[in-house]
Amino acid sequence: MRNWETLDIAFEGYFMCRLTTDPDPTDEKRGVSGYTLALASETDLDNYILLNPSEEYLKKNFRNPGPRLVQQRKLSLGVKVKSATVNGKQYLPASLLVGGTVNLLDRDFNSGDVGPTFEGRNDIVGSDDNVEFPIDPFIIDIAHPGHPGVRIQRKDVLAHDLPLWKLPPGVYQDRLGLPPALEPSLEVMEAIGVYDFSEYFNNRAKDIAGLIKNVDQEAAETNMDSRALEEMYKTRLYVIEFFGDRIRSRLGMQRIWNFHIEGSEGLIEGIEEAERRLDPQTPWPVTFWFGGYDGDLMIGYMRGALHVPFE
Amino acid sequence: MDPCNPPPHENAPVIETRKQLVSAMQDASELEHLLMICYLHAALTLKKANEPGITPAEAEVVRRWEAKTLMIARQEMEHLGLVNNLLIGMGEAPYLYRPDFPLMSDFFDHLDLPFRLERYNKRAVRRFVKFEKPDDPYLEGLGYDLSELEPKKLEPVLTGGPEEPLQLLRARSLNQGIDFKSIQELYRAIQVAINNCNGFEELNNLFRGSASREPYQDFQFNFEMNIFTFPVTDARTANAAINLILKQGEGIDSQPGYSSHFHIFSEILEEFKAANRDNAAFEPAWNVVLNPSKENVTDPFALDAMDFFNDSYTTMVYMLLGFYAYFSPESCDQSFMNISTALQETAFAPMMTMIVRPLGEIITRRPSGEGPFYAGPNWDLVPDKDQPLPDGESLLRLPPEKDLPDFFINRLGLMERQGYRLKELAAELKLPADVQKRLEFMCENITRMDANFQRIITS
Repeated sequence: MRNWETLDIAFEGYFMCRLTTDPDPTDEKRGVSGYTLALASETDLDNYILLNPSEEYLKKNFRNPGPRLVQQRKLSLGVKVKSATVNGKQYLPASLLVGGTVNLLDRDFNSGDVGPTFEGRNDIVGSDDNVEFPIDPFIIDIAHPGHPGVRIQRKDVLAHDLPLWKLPPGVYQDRLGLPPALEPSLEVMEAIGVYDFSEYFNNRAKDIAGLIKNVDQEAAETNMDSRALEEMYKTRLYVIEFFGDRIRSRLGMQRIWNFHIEGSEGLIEGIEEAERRLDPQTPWPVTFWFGGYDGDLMIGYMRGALHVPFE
Repeated sequence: MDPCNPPPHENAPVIETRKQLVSAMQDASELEHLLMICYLHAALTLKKANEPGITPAEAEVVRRWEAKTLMIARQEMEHLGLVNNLLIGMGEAPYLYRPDFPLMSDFFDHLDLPFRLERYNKRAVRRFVKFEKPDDPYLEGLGYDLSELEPKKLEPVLTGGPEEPLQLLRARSLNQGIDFKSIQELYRAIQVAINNCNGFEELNNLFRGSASREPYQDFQFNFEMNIFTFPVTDARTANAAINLILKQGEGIDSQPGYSSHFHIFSEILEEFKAANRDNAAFEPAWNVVLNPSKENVTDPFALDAMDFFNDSYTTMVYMLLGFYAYFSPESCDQSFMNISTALQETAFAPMMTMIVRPLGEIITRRPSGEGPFYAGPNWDLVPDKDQPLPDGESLLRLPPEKDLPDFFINRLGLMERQGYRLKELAAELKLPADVQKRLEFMCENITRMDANFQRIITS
């Protein structure tokens, strides 16, 4: 139990990860034998964890019926700040963060269409069997596009700041996360609103079959080849049917992380009172989970909180 | 199903002795291994989206072919595993040897079915259909175009060089006086012998192995990968293994529409013909030279990569051999302290998916030299120089158990050196950035696999 006060920033939402899946090599760009695939019109698979993918990225990679679900407000992409509190009460100086974006940055602190990765390497660093993917690097960045001077950011530094593949597993256990006591996870099911995984993918298959019927219209609207569209949809149907339980079970999977961000100095801008400073040096506890992965749309859900101690 | 009923037809080969049975199972192991490589090799040549000469629509069709072909290859690996479990269950040594390509097996001589390393073309797919073809009674009324499967009906050879140098693979069982005509016939004869349907004295008490020394007592592949392995310790489990092999391969005793290897390859062949009707120039594969070798590949990078590939693939086979030969659940219980755990955690996903497959894909996209062909791996098993083979013996041989850690650490070290050398060569030759990046990633992974292996055996 923590015995000091912290600013607690809670966040959640759908993320996107164009993950490679075993038995494809993890540098397989298009996807062949795993359950995730880059369709002909899409960019390569990359394993990047994109908590708030750009419009341009989504335009290329967010498949139907995803955009339609967003339009119908059945789905909202992006991991956003839900609250900023101290001892459970709203903390006004940090309230500008609410509704802002939570991102994981790449090694060069860029946020965009590249990102940190789920490092699996097919049992060399992590494992696809139980979604045991360490995250590398881990640089959390919380900001609000409407409030430019407001930001909180910190990098978790591992031994000698080396990439995971160069480190023994004991050094990055925290980055590996843990499975929940029971799977499928009820918390995940509640978060994504899906309790019947078979029905979920049966409906997806029906959706895709419907899309196949309308490929001519879609081709005219998107300037794509209707035959290519049809074959892409057939590939998606094949994957859903072939992988069956494997792709369905990922919906209920959850991986829980709970560690301290340390080894660097945190960046805190625009969310402090003059007389009460947040501590950029003390390790910052962070707890979150990833789960509910839909291998067809390549999206999943994240929920968590960052706890920043006061000095 | 009663394995002794109905009885085999009167001309079916009969196994009478334990020695004949072991030889037949070694034949089965070689066949499964050879088939697996034929399929893997062809799959490695298939083009992906954004590669030249293929439309986006075709790329999707071809991707599904590759996915299905790789799935079949995984199941051939499962069959290889089950056959070895059967050997170990009988108290025999595991058997993972196979001769080099190209060759003609006695098994398929009457069908003109060579084991060759061929890119994914219609002729290759037709050959795959024939490899997996069930005996005729199973095909009646199922709607397959049997004219495609007539013996000797193959397309003209499109070689990358002179005449195809086929060696004759003489089945080990032939030395025992038994001649099989198909995979189905081979397995049925093994099954009849295991159940001793004919009551031969020599076939009583076949299962003399220690069940605790058999892999998969406490290790199983992930069923999500469509691989189903289990211990084979008696006639009941042996029947289950053989029935599974024949069902997955030839579709024996399956429901109509079951995705047997025969059924899948037949479907692909029909899709291939349809794709050709839509586009006469349709070419799903890189133009990889038939039976790649040092004679028909001259590109220096490709040649080095082929050596690297062969040493990596051979290391993987050595690891599997060690895994089968020295597996024991007792040692596994001392978690992360033994060679079998280290081999298990290295030989499968890391070696197969992160080294052999990507390296194969790099090679099949490199020109073979001057001319229109591309290079390819030749899948030679190269015995370790520190494990010389006695004259006349061609089997891979492992060192004694106490020397295994060093043996494998040396093998991984060799791969590491070859990998970094190839990466440097790619940079010197200014090969495309994606090739260099892929090699760099591979080198990182070998370095890490080596460290993982050493950590497991020394912890």
